[in-house]
Formats: sequence, C-alpha cells, structure tokens
Amino acid sequence: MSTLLHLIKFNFHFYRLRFILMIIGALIIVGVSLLLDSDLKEQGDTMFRISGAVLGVMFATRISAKSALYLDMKHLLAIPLTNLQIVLAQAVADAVLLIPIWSVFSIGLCLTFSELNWYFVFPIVFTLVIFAQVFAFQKSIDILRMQYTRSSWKNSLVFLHKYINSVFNFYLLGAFLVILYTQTKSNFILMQYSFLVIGVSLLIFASFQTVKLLKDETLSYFFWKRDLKTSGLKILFVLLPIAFIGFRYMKADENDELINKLKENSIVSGANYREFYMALIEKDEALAIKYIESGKDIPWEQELLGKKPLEYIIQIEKNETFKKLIALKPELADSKNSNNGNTLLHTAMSSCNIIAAKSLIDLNINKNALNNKGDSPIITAAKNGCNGGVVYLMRHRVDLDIKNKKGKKMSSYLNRSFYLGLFIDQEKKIKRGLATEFIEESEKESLPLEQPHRPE
Amino acid sequence: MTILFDNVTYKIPHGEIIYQNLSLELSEFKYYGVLGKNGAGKSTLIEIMMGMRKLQEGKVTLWGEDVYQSKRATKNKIFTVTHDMQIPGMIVLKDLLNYYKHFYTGYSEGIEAQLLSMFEIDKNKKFGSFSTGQKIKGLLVAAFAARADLYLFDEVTAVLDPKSRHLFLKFLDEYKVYHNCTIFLATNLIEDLTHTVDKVIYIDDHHKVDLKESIDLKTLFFEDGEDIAA
Repeated sequence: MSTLLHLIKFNFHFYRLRFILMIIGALIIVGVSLLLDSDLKEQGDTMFRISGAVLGVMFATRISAKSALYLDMKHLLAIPLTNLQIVLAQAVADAVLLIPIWSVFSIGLCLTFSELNWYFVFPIVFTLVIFAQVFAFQKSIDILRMQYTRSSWKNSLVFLHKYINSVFNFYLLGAFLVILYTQTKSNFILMQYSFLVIGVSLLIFASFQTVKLLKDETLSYFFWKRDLKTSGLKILFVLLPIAFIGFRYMKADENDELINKLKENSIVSGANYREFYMALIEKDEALAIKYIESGKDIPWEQELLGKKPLEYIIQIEKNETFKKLIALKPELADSKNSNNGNTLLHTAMSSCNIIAAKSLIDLNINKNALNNKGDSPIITAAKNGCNGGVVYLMRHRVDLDIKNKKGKKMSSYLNRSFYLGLFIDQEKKIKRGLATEFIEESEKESLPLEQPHRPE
Repeated sequence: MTILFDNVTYKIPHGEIIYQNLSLELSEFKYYGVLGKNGAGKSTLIEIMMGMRKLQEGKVTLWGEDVYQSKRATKNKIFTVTHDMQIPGMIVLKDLLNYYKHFYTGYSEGIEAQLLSMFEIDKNKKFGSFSTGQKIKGLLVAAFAARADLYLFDEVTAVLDPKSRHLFLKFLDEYKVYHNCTIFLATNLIEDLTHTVDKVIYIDDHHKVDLKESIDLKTLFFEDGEDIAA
C-alpha cells in the first residue's frame, strides 16, 4: 500500500503540469456543457460524450507511444518492485492522474442516465480506466521489445497475432456484456454490480497477462507452433458466429420483434379485422389494398401497442396503403395520438417516411402541430436525425422558431447531431443526396418545390 | 555465494544462441569487469541478472533467489544503471532521487550530496536539460546513495567526460571497499578495468565466458606486438 501511495505521489510530482492540464481540460468540458445546454440531462450527455472522446484519444495515444511510460521498461524492472506491483501500481497511479477527466465522464453518465447510481458508476469507470492503462502498458512492453524482434520476418506476424488476440478478447467480452445486459436489464442495481465485478475481473486478468508478458520476452515474438494454431482457432471462433448471425440477420426482418408481438396480440388473433391486421403484419401491401377496396370496416381508432393503423402503416412505410387509407378519411390527417400527442406528420418524421409526409402535407394539414413535449414535426425530424425530413419541411416553410417545452428550437437538435452544415447550406447537402427519397419522389411527380426557408 | 549461473542456456528468439550451458560462481564483495566485443553478450549478461531475459535452460540465482521469481526479497539490494535507461525530460533530478529513497532503506543523503558536488550537477534541474552524460551521472548519484549490495552497471562510462569518468572509477574503487558491495561493470574501455577490478568476465566471439585476471587485458583484443594506436 505504501508503495502504491508512493507511486501515486510521485506520479503527481513528475506530472504535476499534466495534472493541471487535466483539471483545465475537465473545467473546459464542464463549461462547454453548461454553455451549450440548459437541461441538466443534456449537459450530462455533452459532458460524458466529450470526456469520453478525450479519454479515448488519450488511450489511443498511450497505446501507440513507447515513451508514454514515465520510466522505461528496463528502468521499471530494475526498481525493487514485483512485476505485479509494477503493472498494477503503475496503472493505478496513471489512472489517478486522469481523475479530472474520468470524473467528468462519470458525472455526465450519471446525469444522462438518471437510473444509474453514482456509487457504482465511479468505481466501474475507475476500474475500466485502470484496465485501459494496464492494456496500454502491455502494448508499450511489446513496442519496446519490437526493436529486438525485427531480425526475423516471422516477427512481422507478431502485430497481426496480437491484434487477433485483442479482437478475440474484446469479442468475448462484448458477447458476455450483451448477455449480462439482457439478463439484468430489469434490475439496474444488479446490472451495475455485475458490471463492476466484470470490470474488476478484467483488471485482474489483464494484470496477470501483463505480468506474464513482463516475465517472458518470447511472448513478444511470433512462433509458428505456439501462435498460429491459437490465432487460427480464435479467428474461427470469432468468424463463425458472426457469419451465422449475419446470415440470420440477412433473412430476418427488422420488424420481426414487432410482428411477433402483434401476432400474439388478442386484437389481431380475434375474428374482427384479422385479415386487415395480418396483411399489415405480413407487410402484404396488395392484400391490404384489396381489403381496403373491398369496403370492409377499418379499425381506425383501434390501437395496437399504442399505435393506430395509420401510424403503424407510416412506420412500416407501406405508402400506397397509407394513401388509400388517408384518402378514405382525410379528416384523420390532423389527428393526434392520445398517448404522446404526436400527429401523423410527427410519426412520419420520427420514421423518416418522407413520402407519407408528402401525402399528409398535400392534405393541407397543420405542419406546426405540437405533441405533448411541445415538439413540432421538424423538431421531431431533427431529433431523429432525419435530414431529408428536415429539408422537406423547411422547403414547406414550417416555423423554425418554435420552441419545445425544454425551450429548444429545431436548430439546437441539429447542432447536437452535428448537422449544422445541413442547416446552413441545405442545397449543397441535397445535392449530396441527404434527401434523396424526397427528391426522387418530387422528380417522379414533377411537383414544383417551394422555396426553402433561409434562416437568418 | 552471491551470484550463481547454473547451466544457463539463452537463445535470442529467432536468433543465435548467446550462452550455452554457462555455469559461473561469482563471489560476494568483489568488483567484476564484464568485457567483450560488440555483440558478444555483455548487456545480455546484465539483463539476465536483472531477470529480463527468459532462459531456455538453467537458472540464475542472486543470494539464493531465482532472478525470475516474482517476489524477490533481495531486489532492494540491487541497483542497476544502464546506458539506455530513458527518463522523461520533465522529471526533476531531485524528485527522481526522492523516488528511489522510498525503495532503498539505506539511502544516504550524505553520499547523494557528495556525489552531486563531485559530478557538478544541479538536482533542481529537469532531465530534459541534461546531456546524455549528465543523465547517467544523475542515475549514478541515485545508485551510490542507495547503498545497495550489488551494482549492475552497463556501459555507463562511455558517455562520461574524462574527468567525470576518472572521478567515477576512483569513487567506485573506494566505495567498494568502504561499503562491502559487489559490482559488475560492463564496458568497452579496457582502461576502466585494468588494475582496478578483482576479476574480468570475458566473453569471446563465440559467446564463451571466461573469468580472467585484470592484468594484460589488452592481449584479449590485440595480437602480441600489435600497435593499439594503429
């Protein structure tokens, strides 16, 4: 413990200037967050995004720089420390030096995801920062030893072998985390506790691997017998499931989950409207149109999973069906969802279905209707990153100055999503194909476009 | 016995065999010079003693402890200075000396002050402002102030100016007697070793290791009658 404190103390001594820069950097991140956002949650979001990026850049630099160690490997091995002390105490000391940045990251995370508990988030982030330092230390050892390994062409395979190893380890970790997340998502405390345990286990695993690496110089060399077999097996282990999942994914429909839920729904399985719902669920547009044209009753107000038929059709982008339906009851074009206050135009924007939006606007609906959050359709489009929708609504001269209940205009969401360029020079972006769906449709029907609304 | 090389075989991975079945018994409180041509394996010998190189066979023990053992009670009795140790430029010498103080219980501030004065270096300066020779001097100050029982020096004299080199060798000679320590000095300079060391570990072109007397070291490198200056 005294050695650990000694290393931390001297890391501060050696790198006091760097620590001061870290504090300044952290203050700048907090300042930028306060300046850009008014809402606490969004301030947190900005904090954790920027500090996360800073930590990522520092990690990448550390991994590739052989001078990142404050003393070189030979020097460290000469100091009266055990190998584990060298690895762990050094990594902890380095992680302590990064306190300002990862603290801002943790605070940002807690503010953004209010369901997280700070007493779990801070230790998890700290553990992961130490783990990252240990991992970077491994790379530093390798890079330092590379100078001895260049005498043989075989060693050009060292990096490839190490890379495969890392990918394999992260793949396993990712798979494990996904399983853990799905199993514990209903209990946040358990989930956070599990992540902490995994973080600590990772740290222990990486530390012992690094100790092994420090002890055995041959681990920085490539040996056919030892390494090729393991690399090959690892590649297969990683690639086979990816190929299998990829194959499954190619066949799977993106709305499979929703479809399965709908099929199990009592309304769908009931005798009334079954034909209509099954046509929608199976996305059989011809069948749906046939049902509509047959003059049978349409369940206009019947909600399935919180969505009325028109909303669902917009979401699954069966636009011909939508046109037929809305033509039957155009007065519904301005209707709102009773749960969230969304109009059909909001739904079209959140699904980025510009063809449906065009059908609605043709019916002369209110283009600036607000939902329960105070969002107008263009704010919804901006929030969902639907650039084509934003451009389309701007061309129809919607009100760009509407503020939602958070006091934010559409432009703040464009800024936050790095779509400012689109806002400033939309014509250029259109040419680059950001609103291709809209353009293609407009050209097809030779509709005259309204002049875009130019912001001041 | 301080140092024991027991049937040591070391091969550079994908490279040549440096030592094969090397067995050496080296006594405590002696001053050993390590001599050999470039590439003979002087630095490798020091690195093996540091536990940095993985042996194919055999083992090396210092005071009975395997140098590859993870927990080594005797590690704080050893101080190593090599010519290629890197220290970031922003570190102040004073801080580095304080850093070492924690690990070596016998650390002497008196010796530290004496050596700083002898080498004429300012401990308040950063390593970045030091020349290569001054950096080594800074590490030598730490080494002697640490009062270790075993010193491993790898080609530290080559970068010292003539006066500093003379002072260092003189100090080493006195220090060895006064502190009863064991010293290994790997060097390319015969003059560093002649008539000062107790024994010379000579490594020949075929990596064969031999213990020699410190006299007539020149004959190891030059044929009889060959003009050294030429």
